[in-house]
Amino acid sequence: MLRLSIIRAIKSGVNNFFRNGWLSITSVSVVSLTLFVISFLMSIVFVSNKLFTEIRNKIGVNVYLNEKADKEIASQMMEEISLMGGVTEVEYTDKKEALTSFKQKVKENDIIIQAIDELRENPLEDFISIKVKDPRKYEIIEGKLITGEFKDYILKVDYSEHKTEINNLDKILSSVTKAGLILIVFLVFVAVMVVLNSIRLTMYTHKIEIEIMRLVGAGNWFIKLPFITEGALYGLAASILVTLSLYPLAILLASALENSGLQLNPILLLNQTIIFAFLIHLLIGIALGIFSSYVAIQRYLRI
Amino acid sequence: MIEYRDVSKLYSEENIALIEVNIKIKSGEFVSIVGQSGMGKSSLLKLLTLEERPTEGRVIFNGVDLNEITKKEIPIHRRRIGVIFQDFKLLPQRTAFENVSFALEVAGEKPSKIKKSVSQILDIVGLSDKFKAYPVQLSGGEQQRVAIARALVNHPEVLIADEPTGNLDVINGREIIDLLLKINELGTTIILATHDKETVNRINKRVIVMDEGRVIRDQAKGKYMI
Ligand SMILES: Nc1ncnc2c1ncn2[C@@H]1O[C@H](COP(=O)(O)OP(=O)(O)OP(=O)(O)O)[C@@H](O)[C@H]1O
Ligand SMILES: [Mg+2]
Repeated sequence: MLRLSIIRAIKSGVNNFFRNGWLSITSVSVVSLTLFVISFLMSIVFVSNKLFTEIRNKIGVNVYLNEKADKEIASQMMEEISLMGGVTEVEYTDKKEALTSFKQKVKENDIIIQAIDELRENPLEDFISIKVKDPRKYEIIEGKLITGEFKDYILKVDYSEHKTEINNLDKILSSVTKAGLILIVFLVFVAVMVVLNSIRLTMYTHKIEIEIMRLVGAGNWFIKLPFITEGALYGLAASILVTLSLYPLAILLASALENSGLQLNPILLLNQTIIFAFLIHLLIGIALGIFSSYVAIQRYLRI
Repeated sequence: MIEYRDVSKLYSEENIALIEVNIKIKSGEFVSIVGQSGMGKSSLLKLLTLEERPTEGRVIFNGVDLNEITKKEIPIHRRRIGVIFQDFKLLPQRTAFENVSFALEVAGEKPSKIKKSVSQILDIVGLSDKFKAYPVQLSGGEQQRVAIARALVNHPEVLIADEPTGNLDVINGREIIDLLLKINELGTTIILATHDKETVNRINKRVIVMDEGRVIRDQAKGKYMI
């Protein structure tokens, strides 16, 4: 008997969802808008994190060696560096290689090529390039190198030039993330209020229905369940809608980024995260719908 | 079967709806409660369906003091009582059949039984050809018949009718009263609240007259007099 009642109540909720076309459209729109904004903010946080990691990875520190350092010394240094914590990459480039790759880079520019060729000696130095996971480590590594046993072989560490960039990047990243999270929390709160009130308004049209239900002896849960089901359906519909709407957006973004030179493909990124995105939308949407319906109906259930 | 014992109902200090009402109703009776507007007829009936609670005194239904019934038990209590109103109170988005079956769904009945009971009851109220009609497609009299069918489908011992002919023309009103008389003959107790003289005289059964919240007359075979 209980199961029959539950199935009936859910069925009636589904029927109401389709029968009350306009009310459903309004509620679904409000929930969708909320999900969309949340989704948008989350993507900004996500994408900026990804972009920054990428930029960070491109930055490395080069340790230029002087005349006294031979290959033997260089490989000893590399070993020492790689033993320092957090180092992900250590690479040695001798000046011949450096020159070839430099020439490669400027091969269009005849004047520079000519100028280099006229020099009898290679103007470049051997260097070791270092990459670390956490850019804050660079400073420590630099300190260790210029005071350590190899200090006499080091011409310069070109770190200082990137120092401010790296630090700024880090600051921007953490404040973007923080601001994003605060905004999301704030928006979820606003959204709950908006959805609650809009469902409360639609509930008013159900007032007579609820009164009649009570008069024929419907129990509280029998009255609530259809509305809660309807609320869950608002969430379901909205999450499908918003997830699908991310595709045209990604395509737009992709064409905007096309010539920016950034290694970021929004469509590919979306394909990778679409299921996760949908689940998040579903979770937030349904929770929002159910919570709002539940609170909204509660006031019509006195007596 | 139903007894009001020293019942008073105050909505607020100045707003007094019922004063020391004592009424006994036996099973199978047809009782008309009459009185002008605002004299407390609806309030009296609402105490029986537990839409309101008495300020003082008690209402006994089948030996049970309704003051003892908790909020949780109210739905079960209401399934034992059928109610109809002046404004029918039908669900506009449901057909005649669905409006009636609703009362059984609420009680958790099986679909096969629902189908049988609803068809039967709609036949009794004379709507066998209107199963699929929505309320807007029905006349006032027909809508009230659907409401009566819904009230009766749970086989209640008592049917409460608050101004059931108030929104109907004379002919339709008479038909509804005749239907109520027929239902009463089949064994259901009926309590009718009305201020329509013609209705009361047509019924020619027990009449209770209310004035300013008091019972001022209670006659076995009464006419409408104030
Ligand atoms: N929910 C309520 N809150 C406050 N006062 C109420 C309420 N319901 C009824 N009253 C008051 O109680 C008194 C009796 O009202 P009741 O509805 O019982 O009268 P009635 O005889 O049914 O009138 P009518 O013939 O117009 O339906 C009136 O003075 C009314 O204003
Ligand atoms: Mg009344």
